[in-house]
Amino acid sequence: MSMKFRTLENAAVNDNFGLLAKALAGDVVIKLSQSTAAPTAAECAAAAQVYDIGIRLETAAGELHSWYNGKVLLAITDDDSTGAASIDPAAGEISLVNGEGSVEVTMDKAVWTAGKKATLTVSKPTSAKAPVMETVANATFIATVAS
Amino acid sequence: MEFRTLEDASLNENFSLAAGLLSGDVKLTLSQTAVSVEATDAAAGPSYEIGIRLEDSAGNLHEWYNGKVTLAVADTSNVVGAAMAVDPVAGSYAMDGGTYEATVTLSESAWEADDTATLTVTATVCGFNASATFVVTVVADAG
Repeated sequence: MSMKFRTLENAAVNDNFGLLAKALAGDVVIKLSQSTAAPTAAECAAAAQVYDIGIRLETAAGELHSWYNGKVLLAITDDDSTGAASIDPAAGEISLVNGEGSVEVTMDKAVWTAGKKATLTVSKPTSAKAPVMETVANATFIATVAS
Repeated sequence: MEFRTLEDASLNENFSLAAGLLSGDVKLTLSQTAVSVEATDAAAGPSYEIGIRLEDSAGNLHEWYNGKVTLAVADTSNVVGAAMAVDPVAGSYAMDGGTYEATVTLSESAWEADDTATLTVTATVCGFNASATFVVTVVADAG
């Protein structure tokens, strides 16, 4: 006996099956509201640089996986010897709510060197695993200090 | 395309359970997770019935799940012959509507204080590994 995925009369039901089917097929993308920034060294020395980064779990076509209330993993790094980058909430796993979340990236007020970077990485959860997240690619926000 | 809230509440519940699963909202819960037993009582070979449920974090039963659950037992006792047995025997079994039951029994042995015997229940659901344990700890006889 063969079985095929049917198109039903109720369009809303089809939409729901459609989104879940896309997720099962690996059509899952972590999308950030901003991927780069270029604060100057002078700006970093004058004040902390703060970036509110929105996080969305989408299809490749930009549809929000609004059914997703699972986790994503946040990490922050920097390569400067004096300046330091941090995030709020702190590095670790956070829950998305209806496919969305946010994180605040801060480059502290310090003498940052031109060319140095602060990098936020949003990736699949490693402890609270979610089946549809296992093949998702990391998303990054990189703030590179300009001269 | 967007994920819709439907007029049919039952459909919403089904989609919600499926979405929870795909979000990794799966856990195994046992009807009891730990018990202490005095050495004299342990020597009599007590049994414990353990109810197993596959749930989401809110305690909703993943009733659609009829996949496998795996039972394993182990103990820390140095006493020869002391062991925990599980019925059905250790192995993998199909859950029934997200539930299963097992009975563990301590052997009639000279169990010693601080010995433990553990039932470990695991399930792999859509690539997500869920596990739970029931631990029997032997304590010294009171008085």
